[in-house]
Amino acid sequence: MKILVVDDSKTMRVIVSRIMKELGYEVGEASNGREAIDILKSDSSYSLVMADWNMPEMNGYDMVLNIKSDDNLKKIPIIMLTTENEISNVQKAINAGASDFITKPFKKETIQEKITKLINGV
Amino acid sequence: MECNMKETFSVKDISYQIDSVVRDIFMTMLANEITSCQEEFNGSVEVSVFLGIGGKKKYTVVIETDEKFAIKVASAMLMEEINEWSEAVSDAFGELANMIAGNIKSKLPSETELSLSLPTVIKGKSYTYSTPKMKEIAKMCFKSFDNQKMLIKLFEEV
Repeated sequence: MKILVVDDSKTMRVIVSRIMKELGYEVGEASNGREAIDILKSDSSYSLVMADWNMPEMNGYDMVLNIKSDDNLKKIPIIMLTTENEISNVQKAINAGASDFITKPFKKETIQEKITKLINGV
Repeated sequence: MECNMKETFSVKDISYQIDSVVRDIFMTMLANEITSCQEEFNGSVEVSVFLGIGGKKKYTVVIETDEKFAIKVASAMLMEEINEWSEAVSDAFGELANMIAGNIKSKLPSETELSLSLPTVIKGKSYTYSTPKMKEIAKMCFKSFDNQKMLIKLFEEV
């Protein structure tokens, strides 16, 4: 399973990618929503996107809207990684098509649990 | 103790919330303990991060420390030994500040949705800044990494 990690912070990409690799997943990285969409359009092997909310150029919310309105990409599940843990923002992302969210700070177990839930369709 | 920050809050409430947020982030993301300290931050401020919180009411979070502390933060987050200032240190400390401010934001009272700016990291000595039309409502000192210190200030629009 190949996962695209989208975050403007290289530190956060390194942390999330390291966790993903430890969990046995293949990982790609993008530094904003626009770059993520370009990667997804050119490489159809990605099964999941984990994206930050607050990014320059194209933020996580706009990225979700773009992916979910593209017939070729809309089936890819998206987990939002965010400090924005207020219900209104989380609801906004879910309404736009995000599958789930993880708030920062996060534990490796939380990421594993959310991915397992998505894979098993729980 | 559970504080309801959404309706109203005091300096004591917000200080408690900041303390809780910082401890949680350091433990979860850096695997490092941090404690609040009563004494003044007496080190040299060499790194500052500014984040704006906007909504009907505006706030600014400022996090200040010395270069050594920021390097230790980056080393812990990236799990690699770093010995000098670099873009990676700036990014890691900015991300730490982003998590702290984002979590503080969710504890603030607001009648409208609040949004968080991207972090601005400043590295240098002997600079001053001002926050016009804002007042400082919390100032907290923390120590970690063998008693090295970090200062967090929260300003609220007057």
